[in-house]
Amino acid sequence: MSAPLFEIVLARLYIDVEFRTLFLADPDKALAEYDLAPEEVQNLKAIDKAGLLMASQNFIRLQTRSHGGPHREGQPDSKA
Amino acid sequence: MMKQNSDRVGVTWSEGLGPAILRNIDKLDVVQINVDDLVHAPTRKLESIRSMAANLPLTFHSSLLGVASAHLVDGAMLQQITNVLKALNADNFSVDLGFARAGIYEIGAAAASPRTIATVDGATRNFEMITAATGLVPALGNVATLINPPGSKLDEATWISQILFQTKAPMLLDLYSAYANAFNFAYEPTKFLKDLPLEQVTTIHLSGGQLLYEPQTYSTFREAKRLASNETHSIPRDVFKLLEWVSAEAAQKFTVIIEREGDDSEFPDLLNEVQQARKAIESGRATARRKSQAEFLGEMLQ
Repeated sequence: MSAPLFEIVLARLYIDVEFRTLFLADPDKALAEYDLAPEEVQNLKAIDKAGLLMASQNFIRLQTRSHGGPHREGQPDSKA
Repeated sequence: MMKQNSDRVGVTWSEGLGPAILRNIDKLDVVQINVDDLVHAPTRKLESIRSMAANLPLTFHSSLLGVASAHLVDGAMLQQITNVLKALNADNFSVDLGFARAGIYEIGAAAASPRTIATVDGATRNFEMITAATGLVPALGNVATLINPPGSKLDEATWISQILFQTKAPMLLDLYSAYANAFNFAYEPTKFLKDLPLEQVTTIHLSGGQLLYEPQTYSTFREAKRLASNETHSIPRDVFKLLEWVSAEAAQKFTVIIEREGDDSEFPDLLNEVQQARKAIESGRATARRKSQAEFLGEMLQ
């Protein structure tokens, strides 16, 4: 079990639209690049899909709000 | 932060509302500064906020640190936030119990964390990092979510309670988030509140939100909706009722912040909400006094 890796996949599902689309169509293919435990794969496959799409749209809305927010050195802009 | 002698109600500082806040400073008990907005602010802006502190108590909040995570809080970001807090002579701080990033992926908001022992321990570790860096003990706040976080092993109240038990931190209770999550996942908001250590609540956030339709492809039933929190809609009446309920249940004094964005034209509505919040608190306190008196009389008559 790797809680940090699980969070990485979850964060990517929230903000990376191509990854999310692939995951919804073919979760095994999307998750293949990650060394997740079988239980973690099951948890992601059982994700609340309506909530995933709604939360993702909400995060895009919040990202485009006017304030800049703190800056992370060396990190790419990962807006979906 | 010193123990409060009275409940305080105030609003969140924003560029749009700033002039109206300054003109109505006598009608507010406190103003919240969102520190995330100030990390790139010029010195003169920080000085103007510091001068406001001479006339009005300020509270300081960050949504983007990503405290409730199996990952460590980003060191550079924590330093930026610490610099702002020190420049403003902050004597208090609060953060959201969400995760805002993982690896290279920036969510840009406090997302609900998988509710696991790993994130309880991660939040505790990050709380200690923040305390060491800032010299302040941050209050930890619940967040609204449109998704039931996958991989969760604990319900929200148990998860928060465990973090508060391990950190001994004060709690920031976001009542709209509690209301929205209860609506989205079909339980009574007071059930969630009753399971929290309410004696640790020092700060309360109030805001509004809007109903959104679930996407048809994955809708749980026809025309199902969920509540999303935002800072542009009015506070629902039910959220004021929750404030009244909490004010009756917990004896300590609260700092209540209305989180709302807008401009001059919306400030009268905001002031009206400040008044409604004061009434809700007073009504809750009155209920507690009546209950206490009734219990006292009951004991005398036994």
